[in-house]
Amino acid sequence: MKIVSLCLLALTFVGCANVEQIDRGYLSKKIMQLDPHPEESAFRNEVRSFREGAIGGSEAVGGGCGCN
Amino acid sequence: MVVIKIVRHRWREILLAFLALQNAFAEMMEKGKTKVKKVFNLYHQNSNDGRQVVDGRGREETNVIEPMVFIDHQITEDTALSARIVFDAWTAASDTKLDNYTGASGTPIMGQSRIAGNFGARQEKKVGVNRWNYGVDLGFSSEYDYRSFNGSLNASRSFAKDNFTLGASLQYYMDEVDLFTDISNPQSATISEGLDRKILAASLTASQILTAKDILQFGATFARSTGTLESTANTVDVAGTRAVESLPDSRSRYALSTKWVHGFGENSAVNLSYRYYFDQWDLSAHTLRGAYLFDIEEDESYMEIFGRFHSQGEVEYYGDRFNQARSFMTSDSDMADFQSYEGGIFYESFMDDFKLFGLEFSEVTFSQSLVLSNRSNGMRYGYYQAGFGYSF
Repeated sequence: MKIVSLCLLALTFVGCANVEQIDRGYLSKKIMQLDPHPEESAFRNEVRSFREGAIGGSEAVGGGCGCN
Repeated sequence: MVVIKIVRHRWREILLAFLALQNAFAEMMEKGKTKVKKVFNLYHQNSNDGRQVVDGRGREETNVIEPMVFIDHQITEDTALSARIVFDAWTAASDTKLDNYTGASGTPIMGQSRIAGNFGARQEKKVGVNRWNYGVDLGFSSEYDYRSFNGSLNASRSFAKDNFTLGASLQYYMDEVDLFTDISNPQSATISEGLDRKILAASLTASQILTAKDILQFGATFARSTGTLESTANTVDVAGTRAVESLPDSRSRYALSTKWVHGFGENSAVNLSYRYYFDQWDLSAHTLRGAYLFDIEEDESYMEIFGRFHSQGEVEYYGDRFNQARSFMTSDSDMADFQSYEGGIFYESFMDDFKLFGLEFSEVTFSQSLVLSNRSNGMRYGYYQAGFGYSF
Protein backbone atom coordinates (compact mmCIF):
# COMPACT_ATOMS: atom_id res chain seq x y z
CA MET A 1 0.00 0.00 0.00
CA LYS A 2 2.83 2.34 0.91
CA ILE A 3 4.51 1.63 -2.41
CA VAL A 4 1.30 2.30 -4.37
CA SER A 5 0.86 5.59 -2.50
CA LEU A 6 4.42 6.55 -3.31
CA CYS A 7 3.92 5.82 -7.01
CA LEU A 8 0.73 7.88 -7.09
CA LEU A 9 2.53 10.73 -5.36
CA ALA A 10 5.33 10.49 -7.88
CA LEU A 11 2.91 10.64 -10.81
CA THR A 12 1.51 13.94 -9.54
CA PHE A 13 4.85 15.52 -10.41
CA VAL A 14 4.05 15.15 -14.10
CA GLY A 15 1.87 18.22 -13.62
CA CYS A 16 4.71 20.37 -12.22
CA ALA A 17 5.90 23.50 -14.04
CA ASN A 18 8.68 22.75 -16.53
CA VAL A 19 12.20 24.10 -16.38
CA GLU A 20 13.40 24.68 -19.94
CA GLN A 21 16.69 23.19 -21.16
CA ILE A 22 18.24 26.62 -21.45
CA ASP A 23 17.64 27.22 -17.74
CA ARG A 24 19.33 24.02 -16.58
CA GLY A 25 22.90 25.27 -16.41
CA TYR A 26 23.06 24.95 -12.63
CA LEU A 27 21.30 21.57 -12.66
CA SER A 28 23.98 20.17 -14.97
CA LYS A 29 26.76 20.84 -12.46
CA LYS A 30 28.26 17.83 -10.72
CA ILE A 31 27.27 19.11 -7.28
CA MET A 32 23.61 19.05 -8.40
CA GLN A 33 23.54 15.40 -9.47
CA LEU A 34 21.45 12.96 -7.44
CA ASP A 35 24.63 10.89 -7.16
CA PRO A 36 27.66 12.96 -8.17
CA HIS A 37 30.14 10.06 -7.83
CA PRO A 38 28.39 6.76 -8.72
CA GLU A 39 31.64 4.76 -8.92
CA GLU A 40 32.62 5.56 -5.34
CA SER A 41 29.01 5.04 -4.27
CA ALA A 42 29.09 1.47 -5.59
CA PHE A 43 31.58 0.50 -2.89
CA ARG A 44 29.87 2.62 -0.21
CA ASN A 45 26.49 1.01 -0.90
CA GLU A 46 28.05 -2.44 -0.90
CA VAL A 47 29.59 -1.82 2.53
CA ARG A 48 26.34 -0.49 3.97
CA SER A 49 24.23 -3.32 2.59
CA PHE A 50 26.42 -5.81 4.50
CA ARG A 51 27.11 -3.79 7.67
CA GLU A 52 23.46 -2.86 8.17
CA GLY A 53 20.25 -4.85 8.21
CA ALA A 54 18.58 -2.58 5.66
CA ILE A 55 18.91 -2.28 1.89
CA GLY A 56 17.33 -0.16 -0.83
CA GLY A 57 17.53 3.41 -1.97
CA SER A 58 20.60 2.39 -3.99
CA GLU A 59 21.64 -0.35 -6.40
CA ALA A 60 23.02 -2.71 -3.72
CA VAL A 61 20.47 -5.32 -2.67
CA GLY A 62 22.74 -7.71 -0.82
CA GLY A 63 23.42 -10.26 -3.54
CA GLY A 64 26.57 -11.36 -5.25
CA CYS A 65 28.82 -11.35 -2.22
CA GLY A 66 29.27 -13.40 0.94
CA CYS A 67 30.61 -10.35 2.75
CA ASN A 68 30.36 -11.16 6.41
CA MET B 1 48.52 -5.85 7.76
CA VAL B 2 48.49 -9.29 6.17
CA VAL B 3 46.68 -7.92 3.12
CA ILE B 4 49.27 -5.20 2.79
CA LYS B 5 52.03 -7.82 3.07
CA ILE B 6 50.50 -9.98 0.35
CA VAL B 7 49.82 -7.04 -1.94
CA ARG B 8 53.42 -5.91 -1.40
CA HIS B 9 54.62 -9.34 -2.55
CA ARG B 10 52.16 -9.86 -5.37
CA TRP B 11 51.41 -6.35 -6.56
CA ARG B 12 52.92 -7.00 -9.98
CA GLU B 13 50.58 -9.95 -10.65
CA ILE B 14 47.56 -8.01 -9.40
CA LEU B 15 48.45 -4.96 -11.48
CA LEU B 16 49.11 -7.06 -14.59
CA ALA B 17 45.82 -8.93 -14.19
CA PHE B 18 43.92 -5.68 -13.97
CA LEU B 19 45.68 -4.08 -16.91
CA ALA B 20 45.12 -7.21 -18.99
CA LEU B 21 41.40 -7.33 -18.21
CA GLN B 22 40.99 -3.65 -18.84
CA ASN B 23 42.90 -3.69 -22.12
CA ALA B 24 41.15 -6.84 -23.31
CA PHE B 25 37.79 -5.22 -22.79
CA ALA B 26 38.84 -1.94 -24.39
CA GLU B 27 40.17 -3.79 -27.47
CA MET B 28 36.93 -5.73 -27.86
CA MET B 29 35.08 -2.51 -28.31
CA GLU B 30 34.60 -0.61 -31.50
CA LYS B 31 36.17 2.77 -31.86
CA GLY B 32 34.41 5.59 -30.06
CA LYS B 33 34.52 7.58 -26.89
CA THR B 34 35.62 5.54 -23.90
CA LYS B 35 35.40 6.59 -20.28
CA VAL B 36 37.46 4.82 -17.66
CA LYS B 37 37.40 5.23 -13.91
CA LYS B 38 39.57 3.30 -11.49
CA VAL B 39 38.72 3.37 -7.81
CA PHE B 40 40.98 1.95 -5.15
CA ASN B 41 39.18 1.14 -1.89
CA LEU B 42 40.89 0.40 1.40
CA TYR B 43 38.54 -0.74 4.18
CA HIS B 44 39.10 -1.49 7.84
CA GLN B 45 36.64 -2.55 10.53
CA ASN B 46 37.15 -3.25 14.18
CA SER B 47 34.91 -4.71 16.86
CA ASN B 48 35.20 -6.85 19.96
CA ASP B 49 31.43 -7.29 20.31
CA GLY B 50 30.45 -9.69 17.54
CA ARG B 51 28.18 -12.18 19.30
CA GLN B 52 28.20 -14.45 16.24
CA VAL B 53 31.92 -15.12 16.47
CA VAL B 54 32.55 -18.83 16.97
CA ASP B 55 34.92 -18.68 19.93
CA GLY B 56 32.89 -16.05 21.77
CA ARG B 57 35.75 -13.54 21.79
CA GLY B 58 33.80 -11.18 19.59
CA ARG B 59 36.62 -10.06 17.32
CA GLU B 60 35.36 -8.88 13.94
CA GLU B 61 38.49 -7.16 12.63
CA THR B 62 38.66 -7.10 8.86
CA ASN B 63 40.87 -5.40 6.29
CA VAL B 64 39.86 -5.26 2.65
CA ILE B 65 41.62 -3.95 -0.41
CA GLU B 66 39.27 -3.58 -3.36
CA PRO B 67 40.36 -2.06 -6.66
CA MET B 68 37.52 -1.43 -9.10
CA VAL B 69 37.64 -0.54 -12.77
CA PHE B 70 34.65 1.00 -14.56
CA ILE B 71 34.66 1.25 -18.35
CA ASP B 72 31.98 2.88 -20.41
CA HIS B 73 32.24 2.93 -24.18
CA GLN B 74 29.93 4.84 -26.49
CA ILE B 75 29.55 2.83 -29.72
CA THR B 76 27.14 5.15 -31.44
CA GLU B 77 25.32 8.29 -30.44
CA ASP B 78 22.64 6.30 -28.66
CA THR B 79 24.29 2.98 -27.71
CA ALA B 80 26.89 2.30 -25.04
CA LEU B 81 28.64 -0.70 -23.53
CA SER B 82 29.83 -0.81 -19.96
CA ALA B 83 31.93 -3.04 -17.76
CA ARG B 84 32.81 -3.16 -14.12
CA ILE B 85 35.65 -5.32 -12.86
CA VAL B 86 36.27 -5.77 -9.14
CA PHE B 87 38.95 -7.61 -7.24
CA ASP B 88 38.87 -8.00 -3.45
CA ALA B 89 41.59 -9.24 -1.19
CA TRP B 90 40.97 -9.38 2.52
CA THR B 91 42.03 -10.70 5.83
CA ALA B 92 40.05 -11.03 9.02
CA ALA B 93 40.48 -11.86 12.67
CA SER B 94 37.94 -14.57 11.92
CA ASP B 95 40.18 -16.80 9.82
CA THR B 96 41.17 -20.40 10.43
CA LYS B 97 39.07 -21.35 13.46
CA LEU B 98 36.80 -23.67 11.51
CA ASP B 99 38.86 -24.37 8.45
CA ASN B 100 41.68 -22.74 6.58
CA TYR B 101 39.53 -19.77 5.67
CA THR B 102 36.42 -19.41 7.75
CA GLY B 103 35.54 -19.16 11.40
CA ALA B 104 36.31 -16.55 13.96
CA SER B 105 39.18 -15.17 15.97
CA GLY B 106 41.86 -17.50 14.78
CA THR B 107 45.24 -16.28 13.64
CA PRO B 108 44.66 -13.92 10.73
CA ILE B 109 45.85 -15.33 7.44
CA MET B 110 45.64 -14.20 3.87
CA GLY B 111 44.12 -16.28 1.12
CA GLN B 112 40.66 -14.82 0.75
CA SER B 113 39.81 -13.02 -2.40
CA ARG B 114 36.92 -12.30 -4.70
CA ILE B 115 36.77 -11.48 -8.38
CA ALA B 116 33.62 -9.96 -9.80
CA GLY B 117 32.61 -8.60 -13.15
CA ASN B 118 29.63 -6.89 -14.62
CA PHE B 119 29.01 -6.27 -18.31
CA GLY B 120 26.16 -4.27 -19.75
CA ALA B 121 24.68 -2.47 -22.70
CA ARG B 122 22.27 0.40 -22.79
CA GLN B 123 20.47 2.35 -25.45
CA GLU B 124 18.80 5.70 -25.60
CA LYS B 125 15.89 6.51 -27.86
CA LYS B 126 14.46 9.96 -28.39
CA VAL B 127 10.70 10.33 -28.29
CA GLY B 128 9.98 13.89 -29.38
CA VAL B 129 11.57 16.07 -26.73
CA ASN B 130 11.68 13.18 -24.24
CA ARG B 131 13.80 10.00 -23.98
CA TRP B 132 13.63 6.29 -23.40
CA ASN B 133 16.66 4.58 -21.84
CA TYR B 134 16.91 0.85 -21.46
CA GLY B 135 19.69 -1.51 -20.61
CA VAL B 136 20.73 -4.97 -19.59
CA ASP B 137 23.58 -6.15 -17.34
CA LEU B 138 25.07 -9.54 -16.61
CA GLY B 139 27.42 -10.16 -13.73
CA PHE B 140 29.30 -12.80 -11.81
CA SER B 141 31.37 -13.01 -8.68
CA SER B 142 33.37 -15.77 -7.12
CA GLU B 143 35.03 -16.21 -3.74
CA TYR B 144 35.99 -19.16 -1.60
CA ASP B 145 32.56 -19.69 -0.01
CA TYR B 146 30.28 -17.83 -2.39
CA ARG B 147 29.50 -17.71 -6.09
CA SER B 148 27.02 -15.58 -7.94
CA PHE B 149 25.55 -15.13 -11.40
CA ASN B 150 23.28 -12.19 -11.74
CA GLY B 151 21.48 -10.08 -14.27
CA SER B 152 19.47 -6.94 -14.39
CA LEU B 153 17.11 -5.10 -16.71
CA ASN B 154 16.46 -1.43 -16.39
CA ALA B 155 14.46 1.18 -18.21
CA SER B 156 13.59 4.82 -17.75
CA ARG B 157 11.37 7.26 -19.58
CA SER B 158 11.39 11.01 -19.33
CA PHE B 159 8.30 13.18 -19.68
CA ALA B 160 7.50 16.88 -19.81
CA LYS B 161 10.65 17.89 -21.72
CA ASP B 162 12.89 15.76 -19.51
CA ASN B 163 11.60 17.40 -16.34
CA PHE B 164 10.08 14.22 -14.98
CA THR B 165 11.73 10.78 -15.23
CA LEU B 166 10.32 7.40 -14.25
CA GLY B 167 12.73 4.51 -13.88
CA ALA B 168 12.38 0.82 -13.13
CA SER B 169 14.89 -1.96 -12.65
CA LEU B 170 14.76 -5.67 -12.05
CA GLN B 171 17.68 -7.64 -10.65
CA TYR B 172 18.02 -11.38 -10.22
CA TYR B 173 20.83 -13.17 -8.38
CA MET B 174 21.45 -16.91 -8.61
CA ASP B 175 23.93 -17.37 -5.79
CA GLU B 176 25.56 -20.32 -4.10
CA VAL B 177 26.92 -20.36 -0.57
CA ASP B 178 29.01 -22.90 1.33
CA LEU B 179 27.75 -23.32 4.87
CA PHE B 180 28.89 -25.13 8.00
CA THR B 181 26.22 -27.57 9.09
CA ASP B 182 27.95 -29.12 12.11
CA ILE B 183 30.40 -27.27 14.32
CA SER B 184 30.14 -29.48 17.42
CA ASN B 185 33.87 -30.05 16.95
CA PRO B 186 35.26 -26.88 15.32
CA GLN B 187 38.47 -28.63 14.31
CA SER B 188 36.55 -31.09 12.14
CA ALA B 189 33.56 -28.96 11.19
CA THR B 190 31.67 -30.17 8.15
CA ILE B 191 30.67 -27.85 5.36
CA SER B 192 27.89 -28.18 2.80
CA GLU B 193 28.83 -26.75 -0.54
CA GLY B 194 26.78 -25.05 -3.22
CA LEU B 195 23.62 -24.26 -1.29
CA ASP B 196 21.15 -22.14 -3.25
CA ARG B 197 20.39 -18.52 -2.55
CA LYS B 198 18.19 -16.54 -4.92
CA ILE B 199 17.46 -12.83 -4.77
CA LEU B 200 14.89 -10.99 -6.84
CA ALA B 201 14.85 -7.23 -6.49
CA ALA B 202 12.72 -4.61 -8.17
CA SER B 203 12.95 -0.88 -7.80
CA LEU B 204 11.06 2.14 -9.05
CA THR B 205 12.26 5.72 -9.07
CA ALA B 206 10.62 8.98 -10.01
CA SER B 207 12.54 12.22 -10.22
CA GLN B 208 11.25 15.70 -10.90
CA ILE B 209 13.03 18.95 -11.63
CA LEU B 210 11.20 21.44 -9.46
CA THR B 211 13.09 24.65 -10.22
CA ALA B 212 16.37 25.62 -11.89
CA LYS B 213 18.07 24.71 -8.59
CA ASP B 214 15.91 21.91 -7.18
CA ILE B 215 15.47 18.27 -8.04
CA LEU B 216 13.47 15.75 -6.07
CA GLN B 217 13.47 11.95 -6.26
CA PHE B 218 11.30 9.21 -4.78
CA GLY B 219 12.20 5.54 -4.82
CA ALA B 220 10.77 2.20 -3.78
CA THR B 221 12.65 -1.08 -3.55
CA PHE B 222 11.36 -4.60 -3.06
CA ALA B 223 13.71 -7.54 -2.64
CA ARG B 224 12.92 -11.16 -1.91
CA SER B 225 15.65 -13.56 -0.88
CA THR B 226 15.02 -17.30 -0.79
CA GLY B 227 17.05 -20.38 -0.02
CA THR B 228 20.00 -20.50 2.32
CA LEU B 229 20.13 -17.12 4.01
CA GLU B 230 22.57 -17.95 6.82
CA SER B 231 26.14 -16.68 6.68
CA THR B 232 29.04 -19.10 6.49
CA ALA B 233 30.87 -18.18 9.68
CA ASN B 234 27.96 -17.06 11.88
CA THR B 235 27.23 -19.05 15.02
CA VAL B 236 25.09 -18.67 18.15
CA ASP B 237 25.66 -19.47 21.81
CA VAL B 238 23.03 -21.97 23.01
CA ALA B 239 23.39 -22.53 26.75
CA GLY B 240 27.14 -22.17 26.53
CA THR B 241 27.64 -24.33 23.44
CA ARG B 242 28.29 -22.97 19.98
CA ALA B 243 25.77 -23.91 17.27
CA VAL B 244 25.26 -22.79 13.70
CA GLU B 245 23.05 -19.82 12.90
CA SER B 246 19.58 -20.78 11.69
CA LEU B 247 17.33 -18.49 9.68
CA PRO B 248 14.10 -18.83 7.65
CA ASP B 249 14.46 -19.66 3.97
CA SER B 250 12.78 -16.48 2.73
CA ARG B 251 12.93 -12.79 3.47
CA SER B 252 10.90 -10.05 1.82
CA ARG B 253 12.36 -6.58 2.18
CA TYR B 254 10.91 -3.16 1.39
CA ALA B 255 12.41 0.31 1.26
CA LEU B 256 10.96 3.72 0.50
CA SER B 257 13.33 6.57 -0.09
CA THR B 258 13.40 10.21 -1.04
CA LYS B 259 16.17 12.59 -2.02
CA TRP B 260 16.24 16.34 -2.51
CA VAL B 261 19.09 18.27 -4.12
CA HIS B 262 18.94 22.02 -3.66
CA GLY B 263 21.45 24.47 -5.08
CA PHE B 264 22.14 27.82 -3.53
CA GLY B 265 24.43 30.72 -4.26
CA GLU B 266 26.65 30.37 -7.30
CA ASN B 267 28.58 27.22 -6.42
CA SER B 268 27.07 25.09 -3.67
CA ALA B 269 24.30 22.60 -3.01
CA VAL B 270 22.84 20.36 -0.35
CA ASN B 271 21.89 16.75 -0.99
CA LEU B 272 19.43 15.42 1.59
CA SER B 273 17.96 11.93 1.68
CA TYR B 274 15.82 9.74 3.86
CA ARG B 275 14.98 6.03 3.70
CA TYR B 276 12.45 3.96 5.58
CA TYR B 277 13.02 0.21 5.51
CA PHE B 278 11.04 -2.75 6.84
CA ASP B 279 11.13 -6.48 6.27
CA GLN B 280 9.53 -9.85 6.91
CA TRP B 281 11.94 -10.59 9.78
CA ASP B 282 10.58 -7.61 11.71
CA LEU B 283 13.57 -5.36 11.19
CA SER B 284 12.76 -1.73 10.50
CA ALA B 285 15.17 1.14 9.99
CA HIS B 286 15.35 4.86 9.40
CA THR B 287 18.30 6.36 7.54
CA LEU B 288 19.04 10.06 7.11
CA ARG B 289 21.86 11.53 5.08
CA GLY B 290 22.86 15.13 4.51
CA ALA B 291 25.67 16.40 2.31
CA TYR B 292 27.03 19.85 1.56
CA LEU B 293 28.78 20.17 -1.80
CA PHE B 294 30.65 23.15 -3.16
CA ASP B 295 32.78 23.95 -6.19
CA ILE B 296 36.43 24.58 -5.52
CA GLU B 297 37.28 25.96 -8.91
CA GLU B 298 35.39 26.86 -12.06
CA ASP B 299 36.43 23.62 -13.76
CA GLU B 300 33.95 21.62 -11.62
CA SER B 301 36.48 20.48 -9.02
CA TYR B 302 34.37 20.12 -5.92
CA MET B 303 34.23 18.94 -2.35
CA GLU B 304 31.52 17.10 -0.45
CA ILE B 305 31.15 16.90 3.32
CA PHE B 306 28.48 14.55 4.54
CA GLY B 307 26.92 12.98 7.62
CA ARG B 308 24.68 9.95 7.82
CA PHE B 309 22.56 8.53 10.63
CA HIS B 310 21.11 5.04 10.56
CA SER B 311 18.89 3.53 13.24
CA GLN B 312 17.58 -0.03 13.11
CA GLY B 313 15.76 -2.50 15.32
CA GLU B 314 16.80 -6.13 15.52
CA VAL B 315 15.35 -9.04 13.56
CA GLU B 316 12.91 -11.14 15.55
CA TYR B 317 15.34 -14.08 15.63
CA TYR B 318 18.18 -12.09 17.16
CA GLY B 319 19.67 -12.84 20.56
CA ASP B 320 23.06 -12.22 22.16
CA ARG B 321 22.75 -15.79 23.46
CA PHE B 322 20.01 -18.42 23.75
CA ASN B 323 19.01 -20.55 26.76
CA GLN B 324 17.72 -23.33 24.52
CA ALA B 325 17.74 -24.13 20.82
CA ARG B 326 15.07 -22.51 18.68
CA SER B 327 14.03 -23.06 15.10
CA PHE B 328 15.56 -19.72 14.09
CA MET B 329 18.45 -18.04 15.86
CA THR B 330 21.02 -15.45 14.93
CA SER B 331 23.52 -13.31 16.81
CA ASP B 332 24.74 -11.49 13.71
CA SER B 333 25.71 -8.01 14.90
CA ASP B 334 24.63 -6.56 11.53
CA MET B 335 21.05 -7.59 12.32
CA ALA B 336 21.05 -6.32 15.91
CA ASP B 337 19.46 -3.17 17.32
CA PHE B 338 21.89 -0.28 16.81
CA GLN B 339 22.45 3.26 15.66
CA SER B 340 25.17 4.09 13.20
CA TYR B 341 26.85 7.48 12.82
CA GLU B 342 28.82 8.08 9.64
CA GLY B 343 30.77 11.08 8.44
CA GLY B 344 32.93 11.65 5.44
CA ILE B 345 34.61 13.92 3.00
CA PHE B 346 35.04 13.62 -0.77
CA TYR B 347 37.18 15.75 -3.05
CA GLU B 348 37.43 15.59 -6.83
CA SER B 349 39.72 17.73 -8.95
CA PHE B 350 39.95 18.09 -12.70
CA MET B 351 43.39 17.87 -14.25
CA ASP B 352 44.80 19.02 -17.58
CA ASP B 353 44.27 16.90 -20.70
CA PHE B 354 47.32 14.96 -21.83
CA LYS B 355 48.62 12.74 -24.65
CA LEU B 356 50.07 9.27 -24.15
CA PHE B 357 50.96 6.65 -26.79
CA GLY B 358 49.19 8.77 -29.39
CA LEU B 359 45.93 8.84 -27.46
CA GLU B 360 44.41 12.07 -26.22
CA PHE B 361 43.15 11.83 -22.67
CA SER B 362 40.54 14.32 -21.55
CA GLU B 363 38.15 14.82 -18.63
CA VAL B 364 40.92 13.70 -16.34
CA THR B 365 39.84 13.58 -12.71
CA PHE B 366 41.45 12.57 -9.46
CA SER B 367 39.37 12.00 -6.36
CA GLN B 368 39.92 11.07 -2.75
CA SER B 369 37.44 10.19 -0.07
CA LEU B 370 37.51 9.24 3.59
CA VAL B 371 34.49 7.78 5.41
CA LEU B 372 34.32 6.87 9.11
CA SER B 373 31.45 5.07 10.80
CA ASN B 374 30.68 4.18 14.39
CA ARG B 375 27.92 1.73 15.40
CA SER B 376 26.42 1.79 18.88
CA ASN B 377 26.93 -1.99 19.20
CA GLY B 378 30.71 -1.78 19.14
CA MET B 379 31.54 -1.90 15.44
CA ARG B 380 33.72 0.84 13.97
CA TYR B 381 34.68 0.96 10.34
CA GLY B 382 36.23 3.33 7.88
CA TYR B 383 37.53 3.38 4.36
CA TYR B 384 39.67 5.44 2.06
CA GLN B 385 38.86 5.72 -1.65
CA ALA B 386 41.11 7.09 -4.37
CA GLY B 387 39.73 7.46 -7.90
CA PHE B 388 41.31 8.25 -11.24
CA GLY B 389 39.10 8.89 -14.25
CA TYR B 390 39.68 9.83 -17.87
CA SER B 391 38.18 9.71 -21.36
CA PHE B 392 39.88 8.90 -24.63
